[in-house]
Amino acid sequence: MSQNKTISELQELNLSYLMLVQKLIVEDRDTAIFRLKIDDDLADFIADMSARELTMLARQSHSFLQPNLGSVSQLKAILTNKRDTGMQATHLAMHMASA
Amino acid sequence: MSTTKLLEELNQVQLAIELIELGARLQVLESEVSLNRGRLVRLYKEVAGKSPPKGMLPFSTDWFMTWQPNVHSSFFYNIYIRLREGQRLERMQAFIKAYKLYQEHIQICGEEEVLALTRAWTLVRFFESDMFQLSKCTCCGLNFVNHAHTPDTNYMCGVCQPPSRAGKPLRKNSVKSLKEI
Repeated sequence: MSQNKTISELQELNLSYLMLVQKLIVEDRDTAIFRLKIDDDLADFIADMSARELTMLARQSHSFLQPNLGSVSQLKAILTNKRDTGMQATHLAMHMASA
Repeated sequence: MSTTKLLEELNQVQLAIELIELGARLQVLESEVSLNRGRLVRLYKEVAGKSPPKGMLPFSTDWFMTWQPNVHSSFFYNIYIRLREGQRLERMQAFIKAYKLYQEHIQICGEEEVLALTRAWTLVRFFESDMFQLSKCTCCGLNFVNHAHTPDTNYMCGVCQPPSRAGKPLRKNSVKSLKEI
């Protein structure tokens, strides 16, 4: 029973993620591709999907989300940097921009 | 023929407006927008509501090597390169979008906008004329702005290995604001 609930949460997450992706692409395609780290084909495909197609795809019991955080050792080096220089946020943003 | 010319002009005006709104100096417009100087000055006055500032642009590469500007410039340039080379955007498109993404980060983190648009543009030009290179930090693995032809096999960036006084101005400000309360 609880597993079904988790699955439906996953499906909900899938749907809202896909809808957010679509919105981002419509707002500004190039920036969306940058933020989402996806390629042109996928961006165009998702942008053109109908509500019905989105729902069908979202109903899968697989997650579409995959942590996209770049190399673990680099991330570790940035997050465990002990010197407080007020630069950590920018350093991290830089890591994400090149991840 | 004449319609395409009009459209082209419209695009140029739009590019100029966008650059002025982001804080571009007149010299940036003069080299990036194909409209004559007189029209650019008029456009600047209308959009910015003041006359364009006079004087030369900062031309020193050393500013980009100082601690805080170096981190901000490197951050901006990483975004720019990704848009320009990774996503193959047109040069000015990539530049404007990268700058907006930089500003967005500054706003979200409530940081100081160290890199003004004109500085960012100068940075791109310095890279285009091979005065700078990207050096990979041996600790965090990210690429940082560095003078061209600098040996960088053991390079460490300004965040992984900050200079001894780095970060001081920030603390000074917070002490000051505490005193004001």
